[in-house]
Amino acid sequence: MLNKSTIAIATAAILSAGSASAVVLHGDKNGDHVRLFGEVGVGGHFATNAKYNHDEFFDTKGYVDDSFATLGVTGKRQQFTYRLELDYQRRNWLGGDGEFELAIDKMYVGYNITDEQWVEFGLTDTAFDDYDHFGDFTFNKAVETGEAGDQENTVKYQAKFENLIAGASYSYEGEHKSGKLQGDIINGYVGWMSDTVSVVIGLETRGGSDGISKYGKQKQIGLGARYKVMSNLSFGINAFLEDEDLSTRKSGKVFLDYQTFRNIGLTISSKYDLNDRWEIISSVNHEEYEGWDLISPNYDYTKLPPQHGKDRRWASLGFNFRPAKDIVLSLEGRAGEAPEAAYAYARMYF
Amino acid sequence: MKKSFLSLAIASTISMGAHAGVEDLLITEMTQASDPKVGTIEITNTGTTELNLTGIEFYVHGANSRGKNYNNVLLDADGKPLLDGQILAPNASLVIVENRSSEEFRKSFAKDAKVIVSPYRPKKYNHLSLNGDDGFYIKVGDKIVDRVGASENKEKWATNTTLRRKKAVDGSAPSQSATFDASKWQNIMPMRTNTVGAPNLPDADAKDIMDIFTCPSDKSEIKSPSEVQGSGFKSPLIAEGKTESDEKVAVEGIISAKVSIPNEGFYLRNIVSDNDPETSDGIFVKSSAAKDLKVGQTICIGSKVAEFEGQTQLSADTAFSWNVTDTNIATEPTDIQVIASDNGSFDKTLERYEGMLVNLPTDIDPETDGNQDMRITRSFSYNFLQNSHRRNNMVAAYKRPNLQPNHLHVAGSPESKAAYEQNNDYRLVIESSTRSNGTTLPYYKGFNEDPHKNYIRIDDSLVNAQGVISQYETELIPGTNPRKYDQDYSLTITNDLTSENFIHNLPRTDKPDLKDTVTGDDFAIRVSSQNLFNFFNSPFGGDNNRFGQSRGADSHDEYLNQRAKLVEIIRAQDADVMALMEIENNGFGDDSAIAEIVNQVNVKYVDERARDYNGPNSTENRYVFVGFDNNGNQRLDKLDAIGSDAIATGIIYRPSKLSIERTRVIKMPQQKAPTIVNDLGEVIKDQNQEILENGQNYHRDALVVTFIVNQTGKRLTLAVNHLKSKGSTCWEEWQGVEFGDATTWNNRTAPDLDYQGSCAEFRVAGAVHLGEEMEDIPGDKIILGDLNAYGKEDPVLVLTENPRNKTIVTASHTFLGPKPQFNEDGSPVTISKTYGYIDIVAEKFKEKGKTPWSYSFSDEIGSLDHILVSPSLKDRVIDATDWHVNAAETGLYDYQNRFKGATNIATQIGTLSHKFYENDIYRASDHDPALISLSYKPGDADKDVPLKLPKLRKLIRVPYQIPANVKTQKGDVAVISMKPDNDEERLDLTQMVLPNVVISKDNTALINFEVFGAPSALFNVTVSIKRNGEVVEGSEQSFQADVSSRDSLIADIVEEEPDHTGGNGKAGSAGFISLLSLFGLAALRRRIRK
Repeated sequence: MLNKSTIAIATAAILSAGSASAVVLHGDKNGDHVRLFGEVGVGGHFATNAKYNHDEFFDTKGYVDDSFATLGVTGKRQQFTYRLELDYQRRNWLGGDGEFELAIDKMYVGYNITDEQWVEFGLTDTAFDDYDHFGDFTFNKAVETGEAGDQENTVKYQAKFENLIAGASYSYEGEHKSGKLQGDIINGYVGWMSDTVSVVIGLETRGGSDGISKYGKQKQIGLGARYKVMSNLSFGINAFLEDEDLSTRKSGKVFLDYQTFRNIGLTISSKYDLNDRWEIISSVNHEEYEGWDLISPNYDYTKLPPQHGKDRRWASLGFNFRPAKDIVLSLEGRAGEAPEAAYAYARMYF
Repeated sequence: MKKSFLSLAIASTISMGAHAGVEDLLITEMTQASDPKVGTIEITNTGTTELNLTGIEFYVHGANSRGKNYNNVLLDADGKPLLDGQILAPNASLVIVENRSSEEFRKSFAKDAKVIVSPYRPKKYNHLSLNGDDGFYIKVGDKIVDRVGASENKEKWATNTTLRRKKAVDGSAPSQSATFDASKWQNIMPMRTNTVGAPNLPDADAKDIMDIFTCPSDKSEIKSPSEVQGSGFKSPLIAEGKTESDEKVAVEGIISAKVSIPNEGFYLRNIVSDNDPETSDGIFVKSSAAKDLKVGQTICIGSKVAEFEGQTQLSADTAFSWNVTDTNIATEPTDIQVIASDNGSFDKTLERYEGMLVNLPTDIDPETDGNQDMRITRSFSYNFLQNSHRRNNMVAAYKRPNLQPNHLHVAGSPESKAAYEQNNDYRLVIESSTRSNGTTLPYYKGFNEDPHKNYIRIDDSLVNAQGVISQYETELIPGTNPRKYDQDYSLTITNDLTSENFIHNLPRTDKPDLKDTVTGDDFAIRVSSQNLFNFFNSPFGGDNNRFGQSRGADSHDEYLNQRAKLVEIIRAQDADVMALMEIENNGFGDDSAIAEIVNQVNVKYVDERARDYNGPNSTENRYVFVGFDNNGNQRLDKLDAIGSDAIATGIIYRPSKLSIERTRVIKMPQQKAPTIVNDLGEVIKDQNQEILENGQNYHRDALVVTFIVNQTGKRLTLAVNHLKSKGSTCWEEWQGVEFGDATTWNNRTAPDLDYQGSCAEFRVAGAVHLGEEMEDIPGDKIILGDLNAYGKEDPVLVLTENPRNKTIVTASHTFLGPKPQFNEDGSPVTISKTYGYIDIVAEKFKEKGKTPWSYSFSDEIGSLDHILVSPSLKDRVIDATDWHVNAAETGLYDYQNRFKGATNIATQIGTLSHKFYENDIYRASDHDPALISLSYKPGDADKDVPLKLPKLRKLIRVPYQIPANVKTQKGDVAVISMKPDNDEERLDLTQMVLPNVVISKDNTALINFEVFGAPSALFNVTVSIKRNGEVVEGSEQSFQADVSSRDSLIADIVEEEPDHTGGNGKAGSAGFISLLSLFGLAALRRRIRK
């Protein structure tokens, strides 16, 4: 993660760069533009459950705040594009401290090769990250695919044709969101998009840290698909299969004896549009991490075995209410081996 | 009158009053024998008034074993005079008895006897203990008023005797007497107790009662010793199922010896031999009353015949049991000889000589080729027996020292059991006729005067020693309840021995007999393993260990003496790398034990000039220890202690010969099993009030260092181990033992059916883990150290091979850190996999027709210290050996002062020590070192490993192994080019001199280029032969060379390197493309190998 002074400079830069107005939309007939965008969301997780907490929450308590704000500027001049996006987020994940932090989420310069194909350089989503939840209709996102997410030092190519989509990215010395080295990361996707059926397959591989962090090599394949049964009812599926090498021993600062852990996740979800404002969303979920499996050869016995056993299954039912175009109010309840009982959130975009 | 005088007078009057009638208090009866449990004193109030005994003191007067008299007042448990508070009625008696006297014995007293028990007070002597040489007196105030037994007596004057006070001539009660007049007492032998406690006195003219034996006049009623002995293991005069004859028999013979060990008494031999080799012509007479008898006298004795601890014997409580004919007939010792009817049983042989005066000839079995003699199998030392025969002595064995049964035979196999039985059969304990004080051998003056010259070692032949053969109980048989003991024969030596009687089959040597001659350009690397016998420096200025223990020297002098011996033995081995065991686990700082020992060893290596490099004192010989920054704080200090024991293992090596590539610590399994409890669930304690078995057991962690042999690219990995000992138990030992509701249990009674000692299963668990972890390490490997397992015990079978497919089971409840080692529920696993290492010392000794051994326990020897090499290394082994410099010697020679007599002898290093100590190599430890020599050729390399070429004063030697198909000719020129592998480093190569070497001899196989000035870096080297300016075809060779400074002699942190299982950081498009091919969700998994 970037350090605070960098963030401060970047923030000052944004505020001084544009005009005095906080919301500026500048554009010309050539398509060149500068846009300020952002969102503010308030809400969080209710009744989080220690028994089923994998790495979701820094603490298991009645309410874990998940409030979030983002502010960004994006622009295009001729074929060149850029984007700077700052997130103000809670470090509410396991190992975090629950406090807010300001982080640069994206900072890249792009180039549009054609209208359908473009490239980006800098800190941006890796290619797979753009579709890692494809097929998962839930607002709170169900099963988490362990792809690389945002990375610095990334080159990304993406294409979007009428139906075919494809993308690939390369990240030099990628890092886990905790800042730990993971090695170079290559991932990509290819998909077919249509109104009725859409399918995306994502792939990822990384080079490993060679003893510097617990992260070794990794290979992952993900699948996302949507099927629109009728105009107001859709089904989705999202799944991944991952073989991730993790260190099982540490000597001094050196991580040693990496072993392969197989992780599997599956979400099946559906979305029903009651009307323009109301949606009903449900999901069933299955997750299986080898690290949870007591009888796997590489179980870490320094930890107590998880109460949910080697896998975790739950279901959800939720509503999204959109009182206006840029407002979403969401409520989701979960049942089964879920790390939380409910999720409630209000989000406004601009 | 002053007040104080007045009060004194009053006090005096009161005290006089308290002792009114004390003149009527008499000692009236005494029983005494060599057994203190039957000693009694009867006192009687002969007056007419009641007598208060408060303030009257009663003393035992005796002589101790050093012939000094003592006077001990009898006290009660609270430390007050024993009879304080006792009121003795007129004409009443009371009896004082020893606390251990039996109820049965007390019942033999007169009816209604009043008995006072004299309690035993730990470490005090204020209790009644009469054993034949003691007297007794009554003291009132400062004055002795009555006495039995002469003052200043030192003799056994009253063995098995009752003395009764006689009445005065006029029939009245006798008066007190401060001196002992034997005529005033009726003397009864053997002892009678029927009047003890009754105030009856014999008349003044009562005769002594002596139960006197008279030899029958009818000679046919007299037996000879051989008739008593018969031809079997038991006397024919004892009925089946009994241990004693019903009647006394008269036996006549000539006294051949008088000894006090193993039991006090004398030996009778036939007046005329029966000339029957099947029967012994001698017999032992147990007696402590034989002080007036002389060897050579003829004795006719009346005694029952008994079998006691396997020995047929007679006994005599008093001198009235025999008639003496004062002859002086010498007894010639009989040579022990094996005969056909012994059927190979040496016990049978010895049984034929039981009770006889014998000689150990140079050849005990003339019918067999060569000399079969007796070999020392335990050097002079304490025998640690669990019974009354605890003392210092030696053990010999027929033909060869006793080998531990599992040393050559698979533990639990019939062969191992047979070897155990043979050891029992071949054993002969060597005793002295008087008890040794632990530092002198009564029969070997030369040893006592100069033990360094006249040493006795294991495997010495003991010849022409003369003495008498006895039999008695020795070792406790483990797991027997009630306890049973082995019965062994002993020879009590009666002649004076000299160095001629001890033939050294393994004489002392000042350096190990290890070949390291190599052919051609090869060079040898010597590896050894040495136990440092608990070298602790923390009490003497070293770093403290965090376990709060000190198992080593007890004083500064002892410490310096210990260190001096260890330094000598390490230097004498001249090893290039040495594994150390039993060194204090106080980390790797400058004041650690390992730093101390290395510094002291290095002191002698001072010759710096290049011309001295091969000399004995060259700086090239200096060692450095391998430090592990175990807590990862980037410092080597006392906090880096390894594992959970106060002792650890260590590795030292010579940077001139080897360079470290990688180090690591293999954490060994721990046992975390349930505590052993009885049927009620109560924790059972042992005889020391410690928990019998708490289920928590540990190995020392293994140190693993991978070296690159300098001038080669060959890896050599050493794993140094010290597995859990055999001495204390693990959970497995107590499974199947029925404890009932017992809360204490002797920890030495754990069953040991296969002679592997305790924790064999736990050592298997350790061996399995070690074998598994070592599999991940590439290159040549050596597992060495103290595996606490003999050659064919389970852990060694696991690491080597298990040709007989023995079922080998691990311990239960073993964990690697918090993780179960085998099954989740802790159940044990049967191990069928073996790891193929070669027990190289055993193999090399087998080629030489010898047996390796490195340790002596009890009277068995075997190897606990092993060198196990990977098969890849076998062809490099030049030689391997044990060096019998420690285990063969008596522990008297070690540095410890305890039990060694006076410590007033100045040593060469300015300390004081005992007379057995010298600053030499012998008995520097209790384990012998094991050594191996390996052969390398410069330029040998493992795949993808660069040659390790350390610089010495900017010079390196680059080896060039000329391909075999290139026949060099005199005058050819070898050329070399070296280029840094990484151009970007911009190395200064201006000083580098790449020489051409002109070949001086046809068919040269190896060239060493002396390259000067090459900077430290990885180089790509190309070498070739040029003839007439042209490169000879096929001669060009390319390889990588790692030019570096030598490993520092200053302790430096050696961290574990990444094992490259964590990727290399490069995702690579190939990986992604291969992923693209996996749309079918095919398995991605792979096996990771280090």
